[in-house]
Amino acid sequence: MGCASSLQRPLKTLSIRPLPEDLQDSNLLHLEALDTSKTITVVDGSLLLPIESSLEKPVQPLLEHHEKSELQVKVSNPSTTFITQVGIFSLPAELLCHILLLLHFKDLSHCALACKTFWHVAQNCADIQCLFELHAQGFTETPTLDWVDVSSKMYPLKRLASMWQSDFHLNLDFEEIVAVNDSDSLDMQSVKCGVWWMYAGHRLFIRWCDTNTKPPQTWLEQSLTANMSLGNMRSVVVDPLQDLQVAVAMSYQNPYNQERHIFSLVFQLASSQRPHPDAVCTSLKCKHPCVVIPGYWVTFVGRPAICGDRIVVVYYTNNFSSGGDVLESNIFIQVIDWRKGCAKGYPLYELGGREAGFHLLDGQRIIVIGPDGRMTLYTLPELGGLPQRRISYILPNVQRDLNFYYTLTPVLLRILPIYVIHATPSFHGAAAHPDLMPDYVTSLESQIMVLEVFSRTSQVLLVIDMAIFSIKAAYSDIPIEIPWSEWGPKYARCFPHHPSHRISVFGSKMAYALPQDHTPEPGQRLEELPAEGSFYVHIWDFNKAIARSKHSDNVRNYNSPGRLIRRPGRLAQSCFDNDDAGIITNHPYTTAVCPTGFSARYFDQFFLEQDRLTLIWARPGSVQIKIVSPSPIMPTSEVGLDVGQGRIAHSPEQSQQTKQMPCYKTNILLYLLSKLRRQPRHPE
Amino acid sequence: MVHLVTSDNVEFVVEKEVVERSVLIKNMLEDVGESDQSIPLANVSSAVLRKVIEYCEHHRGEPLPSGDADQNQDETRKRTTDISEWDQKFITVDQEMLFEIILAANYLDIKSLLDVGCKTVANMIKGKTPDEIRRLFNIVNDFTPEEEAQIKKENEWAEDR
Repeated sequence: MGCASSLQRPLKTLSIRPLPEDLQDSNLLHLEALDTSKTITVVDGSLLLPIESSLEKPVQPLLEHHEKSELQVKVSNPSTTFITQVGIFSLPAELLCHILLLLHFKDLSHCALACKTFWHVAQNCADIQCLFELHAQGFTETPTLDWVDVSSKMYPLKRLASMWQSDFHLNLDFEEIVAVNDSDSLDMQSVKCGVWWMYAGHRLFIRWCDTNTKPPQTWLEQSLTANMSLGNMRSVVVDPLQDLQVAVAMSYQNPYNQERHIFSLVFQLASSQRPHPDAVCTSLKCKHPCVVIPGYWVTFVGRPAICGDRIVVVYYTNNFSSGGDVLESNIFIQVIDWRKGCAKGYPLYELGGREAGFHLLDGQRIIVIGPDGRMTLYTLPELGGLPQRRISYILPNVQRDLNFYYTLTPVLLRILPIYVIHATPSFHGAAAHPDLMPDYVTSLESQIMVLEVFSRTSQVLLVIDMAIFSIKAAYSDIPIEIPWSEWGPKYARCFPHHPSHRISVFGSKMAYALPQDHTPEPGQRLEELPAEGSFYVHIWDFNKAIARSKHSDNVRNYNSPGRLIRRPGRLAQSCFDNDDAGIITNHPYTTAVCPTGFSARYFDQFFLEQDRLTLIWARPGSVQIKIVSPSPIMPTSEVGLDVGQGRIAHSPEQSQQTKQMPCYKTNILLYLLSKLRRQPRHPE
Repeated sequence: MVHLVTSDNVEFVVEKEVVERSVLIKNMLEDVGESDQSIPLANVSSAVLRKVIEYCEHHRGEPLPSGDADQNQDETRKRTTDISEWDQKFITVDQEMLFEIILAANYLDIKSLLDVGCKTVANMIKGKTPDEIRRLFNIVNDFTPEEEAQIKKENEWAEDR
């Protein structure tokens, strides 16, 4: 390939001479090549012309001290024009590498496909290979951090990728005890971006638990009773990323009038309880989309969900039938744009009931699980458009206990099974606190959703691959129903479960609180967590990159000792019909465990995030919060060997440095390394 | 004043403060000391050097990102890597000149200019298909159909993400 040095000097074959006087123009230069087989390129401009005898080119005013210099031209053979011309491959490999690292992943892979030179550059750059690997594992850049210097991201990324992958210790990063009333229900709490919040007894508690960031402000607990004038406060959710707090208050007004106003939303700054400056209105009334029956009451499905500008509230109405039974309406959805201050309600197809659930994927997509045991993906068009039912996945049939059946009214029977959804929160939306945004989040295709299926007979976990809700699925025009036998074996894994085993999901990983310090055998059903004693934190990773690798079953992966690859086993007993229970997936997953137990006494729940775990103990009169982060366990016998081969996850810094060295031989080496040393996420 | 002589034997006389944006020249001057002797730049043509000097003139007085000054870099390296308006205008040149500028910036060790150049190339690639990239840079697809199919297969999972 050509390079700068192949640029030829002005040759003698070229003569520059003035035009005849009558044709002279001070802005034109007359060039003539004696050898007509050559091409003249004007170096300072874009002209590249085959020259017959002469060329006239407008001359840009040259700097004064160039008055005497001639226009720089190069003369070359037309057949080899592209070779001698300076092109992208005139750049040395390390510069190409640097450019490729500036690209988004998809562009990068397109480049690698363009030709062999790019392909080899990509193959031989450790950082690019690491990016490919991270992407295969499901890490994608978060939307707001678009274009952040890739090299500066590599260090934390490599650290993240290796985190939780093999048996780990948990180090305490943060601990606090919050006083609450004994009688308060602690159901309404969550952790997002290192911020824990809880709504209990009309008080909102927020703790900024991210130990890496200095808190920009102190968020203290707030009494929300001042808002009681709005009605009966039913639910409060917080999105730390947008500093948004949304309260749902039932209406005191008579809903039977034309207004059909059933509840209000109040938007406030979570940090200060002042009205949110980005919201057009502080509070918004939501209208029921149809006439409400006298004597009804409203039941919410889960908590309101926030995703960027959107808030979604899912609910159904109940009323007594003439026979005294409780009747449940279809599920309704209120789609709210909190910035613009508009809300619209729609009925969905699913019936309401305790067993219903939903998960908001992003501003446009929502998954609703109905009591009839189907998961349906709806798309929410812009405000004013009807939610579109796109695709339904039928869940396996749950066995009905026949003896039990006759003792219950049909309505009560429907209370079982109950589906509890665990999934990764959405990070979409303009961030008021961009510093809280995780560097990388897993793409939807690599995420999992965990369904706890509680029935009378035996409890199971369904781990569902979110790829089934990908963009493609969202745009099937006619609603499709997929039977369990078709999607189950490919996209779902089934495990025995006990309601006391707490679960939290982040990306492709699931944190699982189990009563033993080693991974259960495939299909093994464990005891419930002891009331006293210890439980152990297990991390199961359902990353698809594992499925692609050719490891055998239930073996330790030598790339990261302590990481155990397993395949789901057959369940001895499950709550599903025999036909459906026979359908199981054999896709592998990895397991890791922290060998140190935590006190099971008063343990309430935990929340997994990319690099930390928030554990909550609900003691009488207080809530204890502990944030822990993993550090790998180093099996001393293998360290020397593996670090030498540069393929171990124990010490990311070390392997990273050794991998990089060959890549940047020139001054760019120092340049990039100096970037890597920096901690990009939390600059001092 | 510093005298620079380009590959095509054109002499440039530039203020020391301006030309010291190039780490290469700065080090050279420190080693050699003040002298009227001209510095030969065998890898840079006058057309390219003119552009480079234009860049250095405009960014005169801005802090130099030196090797150990990480704090300094923090300041200049914002979280977004957008190119400033002036730089954008400056770098709007034909491809050949763009690559020449990148090569010159690399050779002369002017980090900020190298950054601007690399980002511009990256921006050009953004959102294009492999075929469009080939057309953009005038490069030939030198994969055999089998190789291409193999690589496409390996990269399949990268699509739609």
